[in-house]
Amino acid sequence: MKVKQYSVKVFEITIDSQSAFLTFMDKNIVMLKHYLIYLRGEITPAIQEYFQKNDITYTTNLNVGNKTHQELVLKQSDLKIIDTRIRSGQDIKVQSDLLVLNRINSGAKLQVEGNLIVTDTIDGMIFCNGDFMLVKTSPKAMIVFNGVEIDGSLLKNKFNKIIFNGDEIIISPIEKEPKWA
Amino acid sequence: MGIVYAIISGKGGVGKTTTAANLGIGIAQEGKKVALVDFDLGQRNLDLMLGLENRVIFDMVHVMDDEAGLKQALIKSKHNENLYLLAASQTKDKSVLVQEKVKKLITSLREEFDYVILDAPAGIESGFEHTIMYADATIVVVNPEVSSIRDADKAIGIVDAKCQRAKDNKPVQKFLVINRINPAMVTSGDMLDSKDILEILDIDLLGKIPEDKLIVESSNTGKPVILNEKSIAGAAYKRISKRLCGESVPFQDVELFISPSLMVKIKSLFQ
Ligand SMILES: Nc1ncnc2c1ncn2[C@@H]1O[C@H](COP(=O)(O)OP(=O)(O)OP(=O)(O)O)[C@@H](O)[C@H]1O
Ligand SMILES: [Mg+2]
Repeated sequence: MKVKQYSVKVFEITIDSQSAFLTFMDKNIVMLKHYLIYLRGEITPAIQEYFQKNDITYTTNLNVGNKTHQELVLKQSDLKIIDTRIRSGQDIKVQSDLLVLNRINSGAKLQVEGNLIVTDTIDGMIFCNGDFMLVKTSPKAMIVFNGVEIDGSLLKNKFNKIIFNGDEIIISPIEKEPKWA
Repeated sequence: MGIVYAIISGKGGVGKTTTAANLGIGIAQEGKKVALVDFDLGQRNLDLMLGLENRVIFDMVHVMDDEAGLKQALIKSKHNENLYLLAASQTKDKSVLVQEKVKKLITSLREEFDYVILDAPAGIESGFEHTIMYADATIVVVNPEVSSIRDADKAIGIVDAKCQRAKDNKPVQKFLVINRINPAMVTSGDMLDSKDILEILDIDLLGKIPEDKLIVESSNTGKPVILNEKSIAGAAYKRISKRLCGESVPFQDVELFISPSLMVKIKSLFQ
């Protein structure tokens, strides 16, 4: 027997009308390709065919328990900024995108559901579930991005861009220090 | 109206009480009237460090409970006539502190003295919170070690969140004293660099105290090291005392990294 474990992101869509559904799919196909689609409502032959043609996986039966389904929110419109020092013992939870312009000290904890940019040194713990993160070299930090702990030694650039594209985490350098106008 | 300083650290045993005793004498030597208040209930030792252990009849709990007047409980120092001690209770613990009574006590001390220095207990529990609540500014004492820095960081966070001035949206000044600097270890790189400490804590450096075995000796004899002309730690405490009185004393060798705004912030407390 061979067992493999995958972390899959699921998109739940309830079909009201076939045409509205197909228009929605066409528009968001680039993003939705990377998700497992959990369909509710009537799945017409045309819809079945569409999934086959585009090679997208779907299911109609998914037991997600009573976990709440998070609505997909437009993150850009909702940005929080912290420009004070985050000190040991502080535990900050942010639902939106977050820009941190100050140090995150050892013993501090930051949990962000959206994207995260930190322009100063991180010595504490960071949990980010967004699509991207931008952090400095932070050898003392503990950084968890979409459930995956990022090895601090991989963040060797002055600024590191960490992207989650649905199934992969990509770390790339930003050679030039961005100007924070 | 006097200025109230709370001396805090987070981590225990880093030198709060030593600092309180020495600065008390140092500021009194500048001709200011100073009250030292021991907030370390149940573990008082400021009286020992000042050589006043057998003079304590009434303590701060007696004053707060109206069992003694403030004047009755204040003990005059043997070392300087401008300096008075209000001792902690040795029998009662910090659970007896009530916010309203602490406020009343500090208000009356502020009326009588130029400087009121509160020696906080270790940790960040209720005794600590009572100490910082009505202070105008805090002096944070650290040792150049990671654990001390992290605990101080947490204590600073609580001061910023909970003290009365923060609640009133007034600035809360915090000044840093780095204690027990070992010059040999600094040069060998085994000690946390002051620059790193200042970067982490993000508060103004008030001064640095070197490791000095005369401190242990002087605590045992009840004669703070500032009274010993030969002590380098004593000289450092003297410089800090002058700074707290508004005199812009140049920072020496190990004391570098002074912020240009330190004296402005200290003087802002004078009104
Ligand atoms: N610069 C120094 N050089 C040498 N010894 C020192 C120095 N500073 C403090 N000590 C010693 O460290 C010990 C602890 O100092 P102190 O009692 O002032 O700390 P504290 O922060 O008040 O402790 P607590 O948290 O228990 O109240 C004492 O024995 C003191 O003599
Ligand atoms: Mg003490």
